[in-house]
Amino acid sequence: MAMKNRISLLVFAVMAMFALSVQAASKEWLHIHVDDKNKEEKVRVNIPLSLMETMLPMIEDEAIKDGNIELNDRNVKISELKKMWKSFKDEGDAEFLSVEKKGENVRVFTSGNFLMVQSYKTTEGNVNIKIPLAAVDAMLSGSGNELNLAAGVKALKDSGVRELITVEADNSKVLVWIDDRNIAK
Amino acid sequence: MLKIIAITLTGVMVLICMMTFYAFQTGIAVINVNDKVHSKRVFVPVPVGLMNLGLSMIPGEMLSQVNQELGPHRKVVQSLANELENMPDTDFVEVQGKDQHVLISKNGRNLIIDVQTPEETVYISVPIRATGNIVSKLASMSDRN
Repeated sequence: MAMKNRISLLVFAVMAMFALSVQAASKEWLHIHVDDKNKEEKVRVNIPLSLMETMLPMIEDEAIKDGNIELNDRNVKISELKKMWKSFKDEGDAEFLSVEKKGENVRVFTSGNFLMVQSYKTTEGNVNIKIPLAAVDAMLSGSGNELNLAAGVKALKDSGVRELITVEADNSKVLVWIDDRNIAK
Repeated sequence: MLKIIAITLTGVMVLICMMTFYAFQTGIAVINVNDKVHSKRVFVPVPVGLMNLGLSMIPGEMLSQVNQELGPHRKVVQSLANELENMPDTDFVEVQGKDQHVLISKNGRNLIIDVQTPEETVYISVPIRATGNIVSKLASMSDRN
């Protein structure tokens, strides 16, 4: 009987260790690196996506009031954003915005399952943003005038996309990516 | 007479030992501010367990104010504390400027905020679980009042 108990305990311990290691391995982290040589400033952010999911309801309460969100100092209505996104999606793979002028080249387009923003400005350098459509869908899935940021993060996590944003200018560099390590590469 | 003094002393010592054990068990919050300009230093170690005991002394008016501020975020703060506690030690945010440095990190059971500027240094260490419990307790106390 004692032997049986010991074996059960051992099996339980092995299972617990396995469960813990699986949980640890599945934790994904969002990393943000900003290097600004002009200001001699470096910013490093390492946040687990699970923590972001927990924190987002708080941010939703504080930052998104009355269905409005501030984008580039402009108040944008979420309902309008949803309508716009729906018409974008109905188009399939398409280029929504293309600006070409001296020293500036900006493209916003969908390609496969991604929304892409590619920009080059002589003053700002290269900007590449790659967002899974599923993440945008999830973010705009909130009822009425609400954004569902938590669902957006979850969709981002499930999408398997790693490099989200890269900005490379002469004197500054911004990287936003996801991986399963709690320290930045 | 000596017997009574011995018993009282033993009782006091046991009480002190128990309080020290309780304080270490629940963790100690540390606030350390060093004002380099005025050469002043403030160092406050606060046993979070004792803060927990002191909550019952907060007046009702203040509790309702706390409820307004904290109530909506109570569950989030509690689950944040749980999430943080189960996480490996990490530097969450690090800002390195020309002459200043800010670091928010997790070290063991504590959340640490370390700010260094030419004028001052601020170091705050907060035990994660105990703080989560206090926030939860505060919110639930204010619910009852």
